[in-house]
Amino acid sequence: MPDVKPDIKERKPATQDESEVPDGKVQITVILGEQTFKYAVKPTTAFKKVFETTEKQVAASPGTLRFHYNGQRLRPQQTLEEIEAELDEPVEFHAQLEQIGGA
Amino acid sequence: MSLFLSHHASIMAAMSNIILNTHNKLIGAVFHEDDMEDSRVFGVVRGLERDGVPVFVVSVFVPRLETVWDRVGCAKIPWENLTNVTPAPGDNFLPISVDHGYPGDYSRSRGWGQKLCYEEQALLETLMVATPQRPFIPLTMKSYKVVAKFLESAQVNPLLDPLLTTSALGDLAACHLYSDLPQIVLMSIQTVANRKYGQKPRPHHLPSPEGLSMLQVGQVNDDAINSYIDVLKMFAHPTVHVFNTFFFSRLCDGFTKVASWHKNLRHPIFMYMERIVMPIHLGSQNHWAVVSIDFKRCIVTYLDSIFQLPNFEFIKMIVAKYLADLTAHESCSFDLEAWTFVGSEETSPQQTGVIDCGVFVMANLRNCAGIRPWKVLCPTEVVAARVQFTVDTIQGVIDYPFAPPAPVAPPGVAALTAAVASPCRVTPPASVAPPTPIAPITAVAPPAAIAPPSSVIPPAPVAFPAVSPAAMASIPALGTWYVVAINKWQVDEAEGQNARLYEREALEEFHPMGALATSRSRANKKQSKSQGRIVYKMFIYFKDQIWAQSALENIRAIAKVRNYLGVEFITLPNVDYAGIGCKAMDLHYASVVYDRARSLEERDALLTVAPSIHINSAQMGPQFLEHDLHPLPPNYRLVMYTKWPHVPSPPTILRCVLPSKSRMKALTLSVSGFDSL
Repeated sequence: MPDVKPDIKERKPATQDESEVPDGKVQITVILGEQTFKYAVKPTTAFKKVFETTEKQVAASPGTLRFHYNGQRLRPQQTLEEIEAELDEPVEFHAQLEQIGGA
Repeated sequence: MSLFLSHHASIMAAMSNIILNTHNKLIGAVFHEDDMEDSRVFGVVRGLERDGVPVFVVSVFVPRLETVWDRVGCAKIPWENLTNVTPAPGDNFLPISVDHGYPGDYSRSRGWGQKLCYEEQALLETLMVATPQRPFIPLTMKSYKVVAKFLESAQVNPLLDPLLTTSALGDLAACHLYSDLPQIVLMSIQTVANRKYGQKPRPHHLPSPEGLSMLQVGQVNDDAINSYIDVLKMFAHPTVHVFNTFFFSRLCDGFTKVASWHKNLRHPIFMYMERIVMPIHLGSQNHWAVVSIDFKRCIVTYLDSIFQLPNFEFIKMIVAKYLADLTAHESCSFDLEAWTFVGSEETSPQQTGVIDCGVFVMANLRNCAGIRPWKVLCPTEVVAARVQFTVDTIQGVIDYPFAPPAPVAPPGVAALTAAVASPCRVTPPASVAPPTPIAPITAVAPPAAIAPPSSVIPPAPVAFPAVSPAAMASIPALGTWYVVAINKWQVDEAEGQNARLYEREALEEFHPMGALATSRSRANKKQSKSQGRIVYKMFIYFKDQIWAQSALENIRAIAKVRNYLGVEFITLPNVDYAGIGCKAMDLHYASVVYDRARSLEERDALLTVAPSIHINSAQMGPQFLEHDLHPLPPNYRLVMYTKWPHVPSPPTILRCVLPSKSRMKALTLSVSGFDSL
């Protein structure tokens, strides 16, 4: 993990400890406009948790935020494993508000 | 004699009721009942009149081939019964029209038919089972019960049978029977599907219930469009990439924001794409539009159902910047001067409603993604299109512009009654469906107005007006009717990856064995024979679908012998081809695809049909894309003999020279009634 930020490095021993356990966590960053949120997530955890937490933090009503990773749309039931995220690089999710259009 | 069968008692009961209520001469029924989880067959009864006597045809819908063939014992019995029936003299007997699940279009099979051997397929073709041209979401009976429970608790129409899968639900919704189909049902379907595919994710994701309901009645949100795009991507032309709705929003913030988006393209190098298509959300105006960037022709097309110049200017600016950034970042070079930006009210149909732009966007996306038949959404078709897009999204198959069939449902009764009441023409039982009236141009609300897919439903009574004398008079002179174009994909060595892709797709698409061939081609991948190969696609346009169908039968027969040749017939309704001199209402075309001609001679001798009309994309309308039509290369002999009278005598000749694997073989397609050269 060459490019991680300092605070993660501080945690690195912890993750190393955890990496001995089969399910180590992965840090993901959710970027919504100017704001960023960081979560440590197991690769097998559904994103629903992440989404709901983010929505809570920005006080958005549930289901109104859209998340994507490298252009790939993320669904609440997906997991890091499922989207085959490259864990070598920092995992960044981008959040956007719902789009709607009629005329 | 009316003959019908089903694997399910309730369907049988429904059909018996329909028949008994409308016609009291029900003589016999082939009835097969079993409780196998996956053997689901349902049928539609249609009334016809033949020689003045009403008869009934049952189209049997077999959802998935493998489920049928997995249980050979239970699936074959009724069909054998069928073939053993010998109609007594005086009986009016039409065999059940049965078509296999992927008529001429193996690309949709997605692994269907893996277990079909040639004999089985031949049997299928003999039986001519009419199935909906889309796979059902394979739910088990347990899942049906779950859905049924939801339906009960929601107190939907009790007619709704648990047998009906999500597809049928979609169809029913499409028929506006269940326009108030509660969200809970859709949710339950989604839940069931998710549960079933929890381990093995489905290739696309259903939109949220809110997204679906909005797609059906209101403004369209990103969720619905993105789900549709997921489906589109599976069927899009291999050189077209469709970005989702957020691409453009992020692009507005700068190229770096979307640089990572290019990682997930199907081709590792971005510039292998001929075209990228993106929906555009103009947030300030609450509006959707589409931009198509054609790298091959250096054209940026802006398709907006409410065209406004300022928007176009804005899009131009962003896209130009994007192109410049691409040049800088992707180690590819454009001549930015050479690019043209096309945008006007001509590029997209203009909407009349105030909430329909999302629907137009989906139709435009579909066209731009290279999915054929090409279809311009007519503003009066918006309601039907919404339904179709919903169904397509749920099922993960692009069926638009074909409207869904009406399964066992009151509309059937209506159609049946109408059929019995009014005499109508009957086609020979062996033939495929006759041309149904081209979709619901004027159809908006009433359920019965949604036409069944032309290639699925056997003679829909109302649907066979043939050609009226007035329409006959409007038919242009002979020889102005047929359009032939060759589509060529050259695969050079530099594009080894593309070549493999093409080869695999060609195999998957056109090999009778479907996915089996794919695995074989994967096994052969090491040999890498694909490099330097050329894939040809040829389109022959027929004026009349009947001719096209009879030609199809023959071409398909040949194609079966030669594994590599695929044939498909597509109809192109409602397109006004000013350049061709015909109304495209009844312009139908067949496309014949030639794969892997190995030498120039083979290539040159591909096919003869004449007289061709050389048309270019300019004549085909602003959105006609380049790989749809190429001008005819000079060294192709394309000759079509023009003694083709209008109706009903068939075309005189269609001569076709097909390359075989080892040597070139000339084959004359003697379509029934065709004279040979």
